[in-house]
Amino acid sequence: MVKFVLAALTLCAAAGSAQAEGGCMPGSEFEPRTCPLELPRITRVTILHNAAKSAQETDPAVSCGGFKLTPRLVRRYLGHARTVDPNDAHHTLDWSPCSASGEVSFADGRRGHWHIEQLRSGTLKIGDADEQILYCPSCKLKPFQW
Amino acid sequence: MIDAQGRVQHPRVKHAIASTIERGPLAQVRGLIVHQTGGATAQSSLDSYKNAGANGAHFLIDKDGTVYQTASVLKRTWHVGKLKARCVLQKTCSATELKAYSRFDPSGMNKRESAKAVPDRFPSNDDALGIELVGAALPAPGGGEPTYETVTAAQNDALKWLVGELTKNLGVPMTEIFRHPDVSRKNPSEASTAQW
Repeated sequence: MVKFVLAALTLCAAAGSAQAEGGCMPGSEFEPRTCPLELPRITRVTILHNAAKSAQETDPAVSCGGFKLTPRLVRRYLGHARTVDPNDAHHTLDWSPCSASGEVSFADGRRGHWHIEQLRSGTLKIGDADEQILYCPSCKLKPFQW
Repeated sequence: MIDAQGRVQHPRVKHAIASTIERGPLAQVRGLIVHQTGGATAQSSLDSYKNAGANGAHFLIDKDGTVYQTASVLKRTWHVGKLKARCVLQKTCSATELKAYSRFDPSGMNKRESAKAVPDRFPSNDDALGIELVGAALPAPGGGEPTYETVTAAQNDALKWLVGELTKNLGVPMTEIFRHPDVSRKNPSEASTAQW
């Protein structure tokens, strides 16, 4: 029983230390360090490009037809995505030839432009602020792949 | 040329070792991976290496050809990402592998590839040194997707020299030097203009 309690306490301590300052989570060899993305309430999502194939993908066999987002999926992605340091993203995140992009409006009146890739990375630029690199570790339902 | 701490001792190399990006021992170097940073300056990369949990490669070449060593060649860094299947590119996969790789599963592919040895797989974080060339990924005119800027002549000159020294001193064959997007899923324009 004592061993069980000690093991439970150790697990709790490990989980606590993994939750770094500001709600950031440590990365790993293949996952970037992520921090919370805090956004105002989303009032509208517009999709401008869907199931888009990158011009840099030269393999004609690659099809992006399966990567179709809906406004609901975009809201879900933005609701679960976390921010990533650009340098960290460069080393750990996969590039995808398939993406969607569009605009988003917030309850505070601001508007932004989003870009989401099939392998769960993305970007969000709100107004004149710097573009944020996003990653959604928990987006494991179709049409995302991981 | 390489000292006991894994530092390249040469007047052309400036030491800017960041222990924050080193991830344990690297037993044997079997390949080199050429990257571009995505940032516009060497300083932005060097600054980012100071962050908690930062990632980077072993060398950084500035636009003017200055070579920085940012990690010991005796240490791993997490610069490669999940491996692509070398046998797919070389059309040497077994029937079992082809079946396994017919389902899109980057993590599964990486796990399967990691069980192989170079040259049956691409060099990975376990056995590859990374060389970063400073270069931003800029949006194409009209707001298109980001494309990495052209590697400068000074960078290519320095890269050629560094690759020559590393292959000679570490016994790495020239066939085991790759651009980052060749070995893992990255923007295809990264390091596309690098020459060595």
